[in-house]
Amino acid sequence: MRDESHPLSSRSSFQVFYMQWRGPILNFVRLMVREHRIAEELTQEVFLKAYRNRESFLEGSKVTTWLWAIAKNTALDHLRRKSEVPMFGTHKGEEIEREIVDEAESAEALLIAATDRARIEKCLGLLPDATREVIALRVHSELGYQEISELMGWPLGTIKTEIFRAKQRLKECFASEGGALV
Amino acid sequence: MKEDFFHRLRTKTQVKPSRSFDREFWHKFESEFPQDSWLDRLIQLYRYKSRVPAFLTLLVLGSGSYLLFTKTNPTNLDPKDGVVLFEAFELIEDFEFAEGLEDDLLVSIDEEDWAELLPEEQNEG
Repeated sequence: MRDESHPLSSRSSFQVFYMQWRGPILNFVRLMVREHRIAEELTQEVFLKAYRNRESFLEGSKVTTWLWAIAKNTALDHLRRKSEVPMFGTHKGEEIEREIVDEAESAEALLIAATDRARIEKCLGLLPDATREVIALRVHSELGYQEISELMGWPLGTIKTEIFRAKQRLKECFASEGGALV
Repeated sequence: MKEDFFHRLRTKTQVKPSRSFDREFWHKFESEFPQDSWLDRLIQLYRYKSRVPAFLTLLVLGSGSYLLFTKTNPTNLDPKDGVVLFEAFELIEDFEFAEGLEDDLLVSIDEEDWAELLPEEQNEG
């Protein structure tokens, strides 16, 4: 942590780091916990933890892998603490409205985006938690298979197989939901 | 084309942080990690920069040496002091000249002669 080039070595470099990764981390956590407001709170906690524990980051290792490990553990801790796991599509009305307004402007685009997202989230919700975790990492983390393997603690071959099978299941699910959206 | 599936899945599931997200985060951040005072920063700098202690030590030694040198070196006197010293040297030279004159010419110089040879202010003293 004495290296000036390290993204957590100073407040100013941490600001840049935060701005770069807060979006992907939010999307990853959101796929894990499936509630936007909670995902935002957990994402904020991820970055606070990262800065709080910046001394524990080992020089030479990849900072994004370290960050995603914090995000993964934070999301899992939340899911463990939570007694009831909400299903996809159970967001409060205002949360859905805010998310959709952020990404689409016209009424038609709003409808399409909401429908697509609802379908996707429904299909993702059918996956086992650990598989969804792998898919969330694959989709939003930009980590490679090897890094996902290290993060999950699974063999590389298992990760590849899991991703392949999940992809097939998702495609089938999307087709059955009446959309060729992905 | 292999990446298209996940790329499109990313696009479809991507959301942006709410408008208050950053404000809330930095509020939490500042609460937990308040901005350090200048003294804290100085201490941190001293702790983390291995060259700083050596530099400060050299700076202290250098400054001390310079001050000692300038206070004790007679070449760095005040200009007024220099004038007084110069006049003192002149007085000595005049006195030596008069003494030599007395010896060389084998003449005795009385008080009146001394008064002419030496500057007025010296006679008055």
